Amino acid sequence: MSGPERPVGVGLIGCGSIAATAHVPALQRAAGLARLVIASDVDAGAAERLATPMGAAWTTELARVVEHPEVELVILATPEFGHRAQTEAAAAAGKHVLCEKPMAPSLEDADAMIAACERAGVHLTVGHSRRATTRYALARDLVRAGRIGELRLFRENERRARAPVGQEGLYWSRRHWTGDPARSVGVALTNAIHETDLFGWFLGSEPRSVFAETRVTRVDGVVPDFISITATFANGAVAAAEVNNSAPPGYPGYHQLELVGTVGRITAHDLDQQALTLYRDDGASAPDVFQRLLRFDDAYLSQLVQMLRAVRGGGAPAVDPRDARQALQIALAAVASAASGRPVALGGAA
Amino acid sequence: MTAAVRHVAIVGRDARADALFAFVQPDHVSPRCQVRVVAWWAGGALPEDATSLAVASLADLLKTPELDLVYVGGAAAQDPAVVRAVAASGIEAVVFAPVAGDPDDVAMLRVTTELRASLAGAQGFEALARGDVGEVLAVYVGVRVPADADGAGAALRRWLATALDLAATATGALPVRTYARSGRLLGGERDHLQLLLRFADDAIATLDLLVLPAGSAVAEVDVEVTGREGLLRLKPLAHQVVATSFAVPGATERRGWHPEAVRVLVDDLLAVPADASRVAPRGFAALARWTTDLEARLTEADEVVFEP
Repeated sequence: MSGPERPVGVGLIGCGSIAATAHVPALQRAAGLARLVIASDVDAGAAERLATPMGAAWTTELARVVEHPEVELVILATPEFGHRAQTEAAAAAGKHVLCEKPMAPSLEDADAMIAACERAGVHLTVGHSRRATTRYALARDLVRAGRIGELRLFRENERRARAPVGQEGLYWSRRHWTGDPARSVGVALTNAIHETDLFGWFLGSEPRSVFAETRVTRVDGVVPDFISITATFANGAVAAAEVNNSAPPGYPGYHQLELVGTVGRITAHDLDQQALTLYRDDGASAPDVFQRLLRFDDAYLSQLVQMLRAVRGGGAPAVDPRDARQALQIALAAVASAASGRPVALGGAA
Repeated sequence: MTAAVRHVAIVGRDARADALFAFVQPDHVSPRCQVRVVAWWAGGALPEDATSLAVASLADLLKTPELDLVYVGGAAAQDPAVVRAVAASGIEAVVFAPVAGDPDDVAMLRVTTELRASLAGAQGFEALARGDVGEVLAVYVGVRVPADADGAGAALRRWLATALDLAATATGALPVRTYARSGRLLGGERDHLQLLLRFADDAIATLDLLVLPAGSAVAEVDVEVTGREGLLRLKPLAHQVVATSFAVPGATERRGWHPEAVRVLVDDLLAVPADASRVAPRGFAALARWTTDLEARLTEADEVVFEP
């Protein structure tokens, strides 16, 4: 794999789940192209545990990362409510930014992030990693090759398993930020932002109207963890998604992708592609192959390498921040629609 | 034990009526009962070997002695006068949704759907009735089927009735808020209908119905009912024989072998006439009213949101 001439110095902000399971493995695989210089987290233990095996320094202070002279690229593996401040700080220090999705909790924050990076002359990209995930890239290649004609309908349904009855899962609980209404609007930004980004990426058009319904399924929850969303686009196409975080433990239907065009249809449904099922006297189980498959997919490595090349002046990052802003716009419109019970008009729509 | 012979009459004509007649030809014996078609009024031609069953009028048909069941199909199910006459006769009558007519007349009929009358669907409804998934949180129905001889509009109406019946039965209510969008995605006729339904207990149903061009090789119906204690997944059209060509790359032919819905219906319904899970409760009239309201609104606009 060709890449920059010398490793790009990387600072990592946020040492939680996504950093440990996605960004760090990508950095490890890109060892000749990137070097983790320093990692930070509000939890000192998390920062140390992640940084030390990588030979990197660690800290609990944002400033030490963005101001480090060897850091050229900052990866924000943090919840969205911190992204604006972190991006503005990084840009002010002349650092490029790879920000996890969702880009921000508001369009105002997103615009401020874009403006800050443009003023500083640094790249900003958002980690909409599904674009680089094999099934979506393959599907889009087929669409762009005209295999199904003009794309008219996009649908992606997601199913995630809840904790077993009687147990408590971390996500969506009040003790986790995803379940805290002060810090999270819920599923629209936590999960469905993936889909709203794919809407635009596949359809190549601007959204005109969004309608959504959300609900809380967790018995003790207060933040919506279920959403059904539909959107129309300027080219007349329709995009829809349903994210359901209440599937029973072991339900193998993670992603169900469907594209309908004027002359054909593309599907990639986990439920139809279950590669491993274990049958026993006490029943059948389908080990979570797709979750593990994500770990072997090159999505995070691909988006990192493309960003590294951009840092060295070799092209643009994988995701234009304005695309990420559109994804955010649709997701926030869904939140507003669910609250009002009415469609939300976007763009040039009346 | 010898089961009683059940006498069935057919009103109207459609593929199901033809299949019902073929299924109960004189030399057929159903595993659990004997069924005979004893009269047929269609207002038009009948199958060649059924002409001896023709009666001159609906009134004559409804006077047939010892009539156990009437199947109403085709255009007859869309004729309010026919529906009224059948309802008034007091004879047990089965019809597939959608049904046109006064809701009070419709309430007198046993209205069923593609899903209820399918093998998997019937068992799915039984599972829901038992509470196997617990409190229902969400319902998803995705339909991708080709248009038939009646056109995309008729297929869309049929599957709308089917999907609504499932959602209403699973949640035990009608929606308190309805979002619906209809469109022409693939051709000149309205072929797409999306509904997001919200119910009083916060259950959300997503219905995404798309009728594909006639002759399309795709025929899929995907149902997921998510509850607090389980998830029910139905693919009633899953039974297919798939033929793949070695000579022509990518050439695949799929043929469904699932039993005609009416055959399943006859086999089970007449043998166990009191089995309420096979047909919608009489409250289907309320759903019919709601559907009529929805369709009227969609003639005025492609996108509507309303609360009852």
